[in-house]
Amino acid sequence: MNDTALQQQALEWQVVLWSGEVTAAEQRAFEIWLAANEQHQQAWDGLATMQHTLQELRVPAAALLRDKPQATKRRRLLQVLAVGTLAAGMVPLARHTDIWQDWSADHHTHAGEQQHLLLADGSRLSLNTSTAVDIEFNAMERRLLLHRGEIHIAVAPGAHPLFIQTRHGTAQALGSRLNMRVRADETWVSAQEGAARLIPTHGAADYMLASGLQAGFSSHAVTETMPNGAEATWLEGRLVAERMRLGDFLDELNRYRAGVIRCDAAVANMVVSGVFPLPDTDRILESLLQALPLRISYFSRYWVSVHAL
Amino acid sequence: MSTKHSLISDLARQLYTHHHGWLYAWLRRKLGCQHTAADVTQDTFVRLIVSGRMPLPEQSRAYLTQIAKGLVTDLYRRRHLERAYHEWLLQLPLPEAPSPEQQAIVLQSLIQLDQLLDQLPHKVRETFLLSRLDGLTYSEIAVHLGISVAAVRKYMLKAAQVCMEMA
Repeated sequence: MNDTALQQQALEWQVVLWSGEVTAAEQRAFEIWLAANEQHQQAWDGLATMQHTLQELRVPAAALLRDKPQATKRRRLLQVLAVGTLAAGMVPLARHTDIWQDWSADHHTHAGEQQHLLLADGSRLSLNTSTAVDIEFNAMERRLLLHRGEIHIAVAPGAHPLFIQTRHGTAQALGSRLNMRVRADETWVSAQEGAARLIPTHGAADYMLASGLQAGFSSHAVTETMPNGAEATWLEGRLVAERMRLGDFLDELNRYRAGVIRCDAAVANMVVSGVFPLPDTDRILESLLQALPLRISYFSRYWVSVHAL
Repeated sequence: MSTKHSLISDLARQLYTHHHGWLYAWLRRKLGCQHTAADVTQDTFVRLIVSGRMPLPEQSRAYLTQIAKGLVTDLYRRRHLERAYHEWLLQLPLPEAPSPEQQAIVLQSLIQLDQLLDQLPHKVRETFLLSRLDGLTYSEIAVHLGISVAAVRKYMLKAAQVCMEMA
């Protein structure tokens, strides 16, 4: 393959990695491509100048390359879209505007952490692993912006409606307990006590979710509804698997752990059942060995691979 | 190769002799500064020679005017960026202000990035800025611009190819 074609491939990977929503599978595929041969590594290294310059220019360019960077436009954008993690490069710019105030009440957890908060209105908010949420209460409404991860809220009764907004849309809590999780393409809401109203950003209509049910919705529509399962057991520090594919189970486990757990395709369809104690993921991996014919290799603390025995 | 080059420089010399006068006068009126006008006049001929394409005699005037206008636009844009950059620096807390050498490098890269992105269609440029400068995800950009995520990826690739020209 010639250099131009290789550079093109490297650029295609760069575009994948810039998405801000890279899946574990994409990350893995990239690492495999990179490690495949030396030419790939060289092609990737060839992007270094561009990567470095863009990084260097990020803050001044954001301020200057627009004819008029309008704080109000920016703010509206942020609120409508419920932007992902607050980009580090935006902070210096935001400091000079009033956006900063709106964003000051943010909370986040790292992999393996949980956090429990008592909100100003008396509601109790819990953050599961790798979660980022902003709290915006005003005279009209209570609003949570869930950027990533999973939360559970026990809603204090109040005159003002409570909304939880993700990149796919908004859920209004009509009852007292909701569990909500953002995935790559969908947001999942589980109505634990009382109903919820689901409002996909570009949906034709709202959807009423009855108590005891859970539903996933994309930015266009509700895609699936089913009875509640073990969604909220994380609150009690337990990971529950009921006849779960090993591949899915490891993806789930990966949320609680920094780094990558790779699952060999040959074992991905094995079935796992059990109740596992969080957040000690090393211990959970070890306990899998006792139940299933598996072998686990640790390349590093951050790179674990699960194969057939 | 060398015959072709000397042919071009012969043509360029003729062109320079015939057209330097009116071009300089026109630029001096337009820019209001004789030094800048002299610089842009030189740059216009340099640009023409580097391009390696000599206009036909009856088109020379129009051709040179077009190049000069482009250079004047670049000049204004560059000055605007320089001014904006220096104003922006003044807002930074002192410890965060870069050294003068660093400032010059950043400004040069900024001007180059601006020119590179300027070649792109508006939506491609906007997509790139929303992603790389504002940190929006592709889905968020898709929603904001009313395009598909596939289109966002396509635009990002286009912009990335252009950015590879950065020195």
